[in-house]
Amino acid sequence: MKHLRQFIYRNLVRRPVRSIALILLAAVLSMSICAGTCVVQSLENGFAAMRNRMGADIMVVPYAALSRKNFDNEILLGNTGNFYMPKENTEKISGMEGVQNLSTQYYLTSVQTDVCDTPVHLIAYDPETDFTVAPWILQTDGSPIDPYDVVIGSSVRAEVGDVLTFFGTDVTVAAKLDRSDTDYDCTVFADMETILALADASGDETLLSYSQADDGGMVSTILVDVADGYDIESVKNDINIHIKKIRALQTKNVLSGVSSGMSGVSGTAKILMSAVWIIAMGVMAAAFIMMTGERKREFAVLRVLGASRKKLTAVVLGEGVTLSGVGAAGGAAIGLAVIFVCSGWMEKQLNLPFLLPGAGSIVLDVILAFCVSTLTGAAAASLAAHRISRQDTGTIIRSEE
Amino acid sequence: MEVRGQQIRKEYYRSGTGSNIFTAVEECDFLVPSGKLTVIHGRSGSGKSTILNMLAGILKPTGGSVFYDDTDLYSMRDEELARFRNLHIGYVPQGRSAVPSLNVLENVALPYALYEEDGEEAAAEMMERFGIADLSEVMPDRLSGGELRRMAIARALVRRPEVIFADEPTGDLDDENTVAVFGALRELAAAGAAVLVVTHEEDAFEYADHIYAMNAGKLE
Ligand SMILES: Nc1ncnc2c1ncn2[C@@H]1O[C@H](COP(=O)(O)OP(=O)(O)O)[C@@H](O)[C@H]1O
Ligand SMILES: [Mg+2]
Repeated sequence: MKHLRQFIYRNLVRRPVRSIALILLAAVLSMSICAGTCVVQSLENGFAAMRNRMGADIMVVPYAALSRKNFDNEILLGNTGNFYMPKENTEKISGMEGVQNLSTQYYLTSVQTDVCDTPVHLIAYDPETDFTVAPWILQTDGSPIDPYDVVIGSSVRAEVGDVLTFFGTDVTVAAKLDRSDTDYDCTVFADMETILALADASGDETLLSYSQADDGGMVSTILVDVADGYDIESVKNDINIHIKKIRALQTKNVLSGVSSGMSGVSGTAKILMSAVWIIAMGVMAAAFIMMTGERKREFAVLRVLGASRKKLTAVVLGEGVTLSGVGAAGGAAIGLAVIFVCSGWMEKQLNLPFLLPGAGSIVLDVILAFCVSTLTGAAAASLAAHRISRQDTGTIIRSEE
Repeated sequence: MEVRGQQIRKEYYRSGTGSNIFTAVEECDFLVPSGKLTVIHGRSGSGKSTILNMLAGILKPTGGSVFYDDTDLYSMRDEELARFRNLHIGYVPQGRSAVPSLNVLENVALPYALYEEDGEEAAAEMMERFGIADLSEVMPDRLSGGELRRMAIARALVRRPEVIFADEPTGDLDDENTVAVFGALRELAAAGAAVLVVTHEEDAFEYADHIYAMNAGKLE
């Protein structure tokens, strides 16, 4: 043995139970931080994706839509819902100050098909004015969206160029959207002409009546993009004051229901992480402090043989960092595995948008988990190191045992 | 190298006594000359370990200074002093002093390992000299009192220090081991080292060059 390193290693091996217990503790801490931050970030990501995909600053819906029991979720999750208002509202709003872009969507119906696990929403949008759907197109053949072309959500089992059939009518997939974890993933967008043709083909009285009576004269939602420099809130209020039987909503507020669900879950995750952290810190500190009592004499002997205070500190910290580092590395690896294996299950259980962060971000989480647990071990050991390096060698060595 | 304590004294704070100050060692001058074996003798609690530790650089005197030739021991920074002790002072503590996680060879080589140096050869040689060469790989909890004591002495001497302190080095030993230990210390003094032994027994007298008596903190 020629190195202090080896001495540290011997000390740890000599007390296997204590060492393993502390390693496990660091592992639990690191695992909970790794998995916990990943869950929190996935929720934040899912939420951000959802908000981005909403695209608009303001969403205008018929007043009646507000009484819908699942209003928030329906709207949020990309399901415009079967409520309607006159299209002339659109012209009024587009003339208002601060309105930069405006586009409408018209909800036809939802149909159970074999191309998607949940019912497919058939929604008309206006490719000319659209600013909420186009940014999320992932694949496209590059040509404009013509009649009988559709844009499909990421969960619809079809690729660009494929032909889908609704009510016996063929439509061609012209573009596919990126995953959003919202109802957009199971939506088929087409222009109004196509959607009305589908309504005709359905033979369904209700759908027919929509198409014949309104002939595109009705819309479900009006999406508004507010120009820079204008206050979204006041534009929203303007719309509410000037237009009857509608409600303009700030999408940010519409999202608050989901947002509170999300902060509930991430809040719980954060509390759990803190609790594990505090317990780990306490137990580690107690373990190291106990050790200082047991090994007082051993450290006094090292001092007599010529170890400086700094070296004693190095030995104690070395022991702490080795244990917590090994545990932290193992725990982070387990945390990572848990995230990959269980993310699908968690998404179902939480019923909230859940998007795993990118590889870079996950790597950062792993590094964070590793560093926090290792540093926790170091901090716990440093209490002990401080006590040991300050102890009075002369007094301890003087007494027999 | 000779060791000089100049007007050293040690007081401890002790509540309940009259002035709350307890004088463990009264002010005194003390010389440990090189090439001699010096013995301090006295009853338990008389302050022998206290004076030894002050001279050995591990207990700062309340007053006075300790010189190693011209070096003022307690004016050094902790790291300097630690290294100085490591190189120049051999200290045999009272009682058990084995590092339990290391085998005998590693214990003896520890003064080198503390500074990342290879001391196995020097350690093997010292162990040979004290008759514990065949115990290299054995862990300290398997050793007898005499073997542990010889290990502690081998460890204290492994760097061939010029100054050696031993606190009750034979307290827990039988006659045969006592003779061996004092024989070795005597030899070291003969080879030029400054050796100081404190003991409450009289076994050391026949090996000593100088004998001091310590009584209730007073050196006589
Ligand atoms: N750290 C301390 N605090 C208070 N009293 C101490 C301390 N160390 C030693 N003493 C006291 O100093 C006296 C001398 O102790 P010591 O030098 O160990 O005696 P010896 O070695 O001769 O048996 C004893 O009465 C002891 O109780
Ligand atoms: Mg003593």
